[in-house]
Amino acid sequence: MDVFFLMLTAVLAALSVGLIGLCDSLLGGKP
Amino acid sequence: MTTNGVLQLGLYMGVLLVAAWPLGIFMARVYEDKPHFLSWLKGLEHGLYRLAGVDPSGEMTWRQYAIAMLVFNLLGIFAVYGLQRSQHLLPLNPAAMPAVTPDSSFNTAVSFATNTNWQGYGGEATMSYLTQMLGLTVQNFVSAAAGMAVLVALIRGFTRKQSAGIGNFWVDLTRSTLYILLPLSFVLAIVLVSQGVVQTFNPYATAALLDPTEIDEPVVGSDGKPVLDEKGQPTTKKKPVTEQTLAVGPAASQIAIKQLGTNGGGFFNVNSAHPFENPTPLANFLEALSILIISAALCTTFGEMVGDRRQGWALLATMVVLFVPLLALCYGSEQTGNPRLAEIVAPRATAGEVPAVENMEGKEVRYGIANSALWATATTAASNGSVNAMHDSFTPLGGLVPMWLMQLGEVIFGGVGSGLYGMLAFAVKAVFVAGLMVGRTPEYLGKKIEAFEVKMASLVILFPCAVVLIGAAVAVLAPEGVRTIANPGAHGFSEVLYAFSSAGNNNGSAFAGLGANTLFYNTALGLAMFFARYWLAIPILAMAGSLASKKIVPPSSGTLPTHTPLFVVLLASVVIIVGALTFIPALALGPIVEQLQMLGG
Repeated sequence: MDVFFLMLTAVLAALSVGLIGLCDSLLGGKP
Repeated sequence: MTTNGVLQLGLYMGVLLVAAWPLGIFMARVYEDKPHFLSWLKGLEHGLYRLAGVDPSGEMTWRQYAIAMLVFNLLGIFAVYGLQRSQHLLPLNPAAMPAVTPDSSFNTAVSFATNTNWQGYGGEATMSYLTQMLGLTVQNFVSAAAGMAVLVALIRGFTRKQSAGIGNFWVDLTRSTLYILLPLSFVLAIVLVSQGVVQTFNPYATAALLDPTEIDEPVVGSDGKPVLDEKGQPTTKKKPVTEQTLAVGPAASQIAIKQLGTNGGGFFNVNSAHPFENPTPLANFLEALSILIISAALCTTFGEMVGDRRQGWALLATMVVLFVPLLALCYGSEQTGNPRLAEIVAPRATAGEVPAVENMEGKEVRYGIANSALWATATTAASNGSVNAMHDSFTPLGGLVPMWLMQLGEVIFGGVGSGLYGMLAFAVKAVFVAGLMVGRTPEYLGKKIEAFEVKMASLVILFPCAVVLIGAAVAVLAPEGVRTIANPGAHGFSEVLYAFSSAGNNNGSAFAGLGANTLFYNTALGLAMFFARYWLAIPILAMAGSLASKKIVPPSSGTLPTHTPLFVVLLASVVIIVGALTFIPALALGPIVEQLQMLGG
């Protein structure tokens, strides 16, 4: 179970980085 | 409502608004790096930067700021998770607490890192002193500081002209902690200790009962299983009880920041209804004041930093305009109680058959109905979540108020930092709506509000709504979700809806009546808390980056003034309309139908 929850947290973090990328693309990469 | 109660609530609001003013100005000076009365700590601040290898003059883009915030919080989650899982091997565990289960550890780690402090566990029966201090209390400080940092970055977005940077996350985090949260918490903790809040490393105490009693203890066979009688029921034997265990610990230092940082996680299971957490009327007043003080003061900070105090006053006025009627509704509902019950009791009380009593069901009996309603309203207006009364036992309308306050997005004062940046997202939406009405490009504080800002504000407003409604829907459809509901029907639905409203808005209070320390709820609510925190902070930082890169446009005759009573009404209306349209249907299935059932007898 420890591995599951640690992996789950890592997935959540990766999704959040994906959201940063999405916002960045909406902004057109500036500034 | 009683005169006494109204006067107490009026005193609270008066002290809150008066105290928020100087604190807000002080915080602005901290963030703008101007001299203040704690400037003598500069050496310590710069020592911390040197220790961490941080260049305090280094500006971050919004992406760097967001990544720094995310990485810092992620490390916090792993640290708290690890502490809980290994607490049985670590010192400061006088009650010999075993390791916390993996699902509860995940839930609690996310809960405290996201400033939610939802607690599926009972503190005194689960956590070692080390876990409470090093895990939970530290996160209480830094999660609050992270929220304040994101707000300050957004404010800089409004004030900077054509800038790529929005500040430095590490600097904002350090200043929030060192100059604001630590000093305030230190003073409050000392005052709370003077009132009787415990602060000790001693093991739990035992006290001889003045009135020894007996309990029914299940009989266990040699195989460790309960012995059943001929009807298949567990057999019990009488066990005399002559002593009581009194849980103690380093509570005051955690209680102070739990209130000031809008965290809310209690040292003890019953939170601020515990006499060791909230022992006197003065302690109750100060703790309730601490729930809203920083969030209210940040409005003043905002006005100072944008160079127009009226802008901060308008936001504060909007919060007060929304808060006071909801407080009155909660207090009025609880003071009135169940009218059907009153019809039965009142004649018998008049005849002297039963004592005339107020509606004390679920209340903090030491401080009365007004202070129970005030705490319930304040703790859910802010994303605090500590409780001194049991919301599950409130009247349906009294329970609807705290639930709806959370569902409005925790923007009426809200969490430290997160409340105001949520309200600013609504402000962006409000000027956009006003711009649509008059056919002009909307502006806010001299910055043109364009499609990107409106998209980001929409994400900030809609993410929590989606998390709450989808989460509650999944829970009531899943067998594991309904298995631990204590009450069937509308009240049971309210318990589930409240849990997701709390987690999905980073509040952390519990309605009670729902067994949430299960694999299903620990995981589902953990996910809700994570998304509600970071998936709002990231669009806010993106908005800050976009705004900072823009020019400042001088106001013209077509500019909507955002410091006037008209704007306060417009902003409050947007908050209410979004909250009403999104959640009234769900509330109709819970507290509203309960209210109708109650009135119908």
